[in-house]
Amino acid sequence: MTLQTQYDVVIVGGGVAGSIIALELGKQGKRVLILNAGIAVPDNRGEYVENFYLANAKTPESPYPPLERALDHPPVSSTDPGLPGTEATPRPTIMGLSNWTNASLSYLVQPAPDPRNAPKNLPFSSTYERTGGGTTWHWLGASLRLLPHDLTMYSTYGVFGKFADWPITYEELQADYGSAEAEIGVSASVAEQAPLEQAIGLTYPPGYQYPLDSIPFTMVDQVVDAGIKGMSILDDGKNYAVFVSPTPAGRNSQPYQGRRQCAGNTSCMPICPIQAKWDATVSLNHALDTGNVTVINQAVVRTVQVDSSGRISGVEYLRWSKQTGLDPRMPPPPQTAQGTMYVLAAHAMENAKLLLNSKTPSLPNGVANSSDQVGRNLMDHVLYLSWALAPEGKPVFPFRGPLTTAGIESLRDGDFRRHRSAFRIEIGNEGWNVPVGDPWVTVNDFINGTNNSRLNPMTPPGRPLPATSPKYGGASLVRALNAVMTRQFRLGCLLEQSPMSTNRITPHPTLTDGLGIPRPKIDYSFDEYTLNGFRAARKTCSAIYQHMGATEFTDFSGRKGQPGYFEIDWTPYKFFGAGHVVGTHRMGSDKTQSVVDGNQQSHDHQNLWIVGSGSFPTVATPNPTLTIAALAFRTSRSILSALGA
Amino acid sequence: MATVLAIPATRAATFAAMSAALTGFKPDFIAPPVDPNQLHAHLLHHIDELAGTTSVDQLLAQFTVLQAHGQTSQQIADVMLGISPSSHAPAAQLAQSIVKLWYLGSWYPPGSTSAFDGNVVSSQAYVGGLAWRAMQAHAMGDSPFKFGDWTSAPPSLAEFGADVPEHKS
Repeated sequence: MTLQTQYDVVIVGGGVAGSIIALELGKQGKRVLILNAGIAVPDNRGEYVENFYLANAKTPESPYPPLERALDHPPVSSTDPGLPGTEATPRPTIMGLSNWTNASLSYLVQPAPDPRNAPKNLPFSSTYERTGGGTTWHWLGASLRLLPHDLTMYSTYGVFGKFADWPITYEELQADYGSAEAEIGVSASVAEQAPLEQAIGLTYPPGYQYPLDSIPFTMVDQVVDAGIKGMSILDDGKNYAVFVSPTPAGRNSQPYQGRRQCAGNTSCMPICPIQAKWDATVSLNHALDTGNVTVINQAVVRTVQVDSSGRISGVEYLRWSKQTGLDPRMPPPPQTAQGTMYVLAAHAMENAKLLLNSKTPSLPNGVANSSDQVGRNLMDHVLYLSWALAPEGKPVFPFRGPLTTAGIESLRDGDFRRHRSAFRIEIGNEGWNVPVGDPWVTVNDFINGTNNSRLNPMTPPGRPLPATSPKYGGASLVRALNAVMTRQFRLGCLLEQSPMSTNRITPHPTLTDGLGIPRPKIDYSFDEYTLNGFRAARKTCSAIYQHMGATEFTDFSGRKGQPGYFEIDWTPYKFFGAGHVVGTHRMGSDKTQSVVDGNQQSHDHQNLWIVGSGSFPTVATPNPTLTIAALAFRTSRSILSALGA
Repeated sequence: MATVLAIPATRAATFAAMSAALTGFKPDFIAPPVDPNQLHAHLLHHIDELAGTTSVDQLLAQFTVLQAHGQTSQQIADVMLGISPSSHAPAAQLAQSIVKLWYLGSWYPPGSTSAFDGNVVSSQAYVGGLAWRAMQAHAMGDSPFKFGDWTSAPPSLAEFGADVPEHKS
């Protein structure tokens, strides 16, 4: 069946990129269709907030359908509903990651680790959502720009021969960053970012101002800021200043575009209960308000169709009515949507999956893949977490305010990038929630008389745990918890990962989702460049704690067998995913080495744009959403131009 | 909420008094004089269902005896939670589960020693969790505060309802 309407543009996916492109095209009177794989954006977010409150594991995915409650309560049998092989829109989840080598529980099909050759076959650890508004439902809001050198890694540092330059410059992106910051409503101050110009080359156009004032520092930020005054680190004979900067944030410091000011709910991930943080549903609504944009929900695109002239002629999609318990051998009847132009905005992983699943006898590598780069160079910000107690007498009172409001950005660029990953350091305001599982773990320790957090009694790593731990109750419990919990904080290093053609997503030959669509099979490892980054991140964080008189508790020694555990130099490490999935359809000027050009237009098919963080040739260090949004503005102009507007 | 109202007021009041001693929060915080939420009655309803009224009644009786003997709140907590060695183990384990429910909004089976064994009993129980108040904060996703309050020290522990001497942080 073919839809009767012929659209100017058909967009697959309604996340950051898809929503902004729809908005820009809709404003110009173009007829746009968005195919959204998941359910419609709900009228109000109360139900999702309630899902979060009720979830035992308060993971990023916990508010969003399909709910992972079935996985919440082990044991799980292979016939349980809610498993990726029987769902219409399964996606990677933290609960799935906990079972990452079990393909009946994990949507991503990942090989078992190779203990003889560590760190090979690592679990790809990032998650995403497949629903209207996409993963911005649980993005952190960090709205950092790329640095000029982030776009010229090959020509500036020439490292390991693997890095590629972007086909566009920072200067060319400046205006689009401004448009993205206005659409998102970024809270920041150019004056407060000024020290980063000398440190790492961050610049703004003359007279530029962010749309909203910056978000003030939490007490964690204040203690770290004061504690590292004057600090620098030495790397390869050069000194690098270490200082705290406010993080430009996609959350409202004052009411903006009909949304409220942030009230500090400390749950930007997984859900802002008052939508003070921008998400793509805001832009999607603006797009619908143009009157020119149509959304079809619960429509999963299975293949992209190409005619004999090499133009995209349609996308074939499956409309589902039931999320779970599907029989993949009996998919719903396929339908086709047609437009003059096509945009794939389904997510870095899903875009690559879709292109590769669209292979035909005449396109044996899949669509848009003459370069054989589709699905390759899969990257993430691999996250090195460390945690500590602030100095006694200097409580930081976590769990008040946004999850993060500041970071150490001054180490995002330098000559060290010739031999190791750069990183930004995010200052966390949620205590030991992520690395340890607090407050749950420490509260249980103090009631049970156990010591899983090493706080009962306080026993920093390296010292033997005492044979017994005290139990507390009544007012003693309150005082004991207050004494340690108000001092908890953590630092998260977002490491840039080097592109590797062997890190890739390919469609699995046999395993499918509930609609019978092949699922992503992942190959993922780190090279020496990234491992060197881990070594530097560990050293830097420990130096920061020492400089500020904090007591570090980072310890991965008991976590062997957990996803993300690995060893270098006989030292245990664990990495976490940042949700920043990058690189699977990279842009470039050489069509034999890249999938799209600087406008995110396919080298192979003139009426196809493949958009989002999959287009990034390098992951660099900033959280990617702002750059995805900026590129969406750039791409909108390219599409309008192609439409003859 | 009809089932909650069915709990005799005196039993709910005894549960509130016992909860105050076990958790270290003030009785008028655990069961405020004007209390549209009735969190204590709500939690008691869940505990009755999960542990059985007989076990709960035995615990309430133990609390009443200790209170009648003039024990302080801290002494009562120490005895009932098995911190002082005189308590009967199954009763102490149930008392520990009740404290965890108050602190985290999750029910941990008595005797559980894993932090990951809990089941959230309700959104009301989660957002009312005392663990957050014990660190002078709020449940993630339920801030009663406003923009910028995070830049300075929070109200004192006592102002958060804890039964500890008043002192400004």
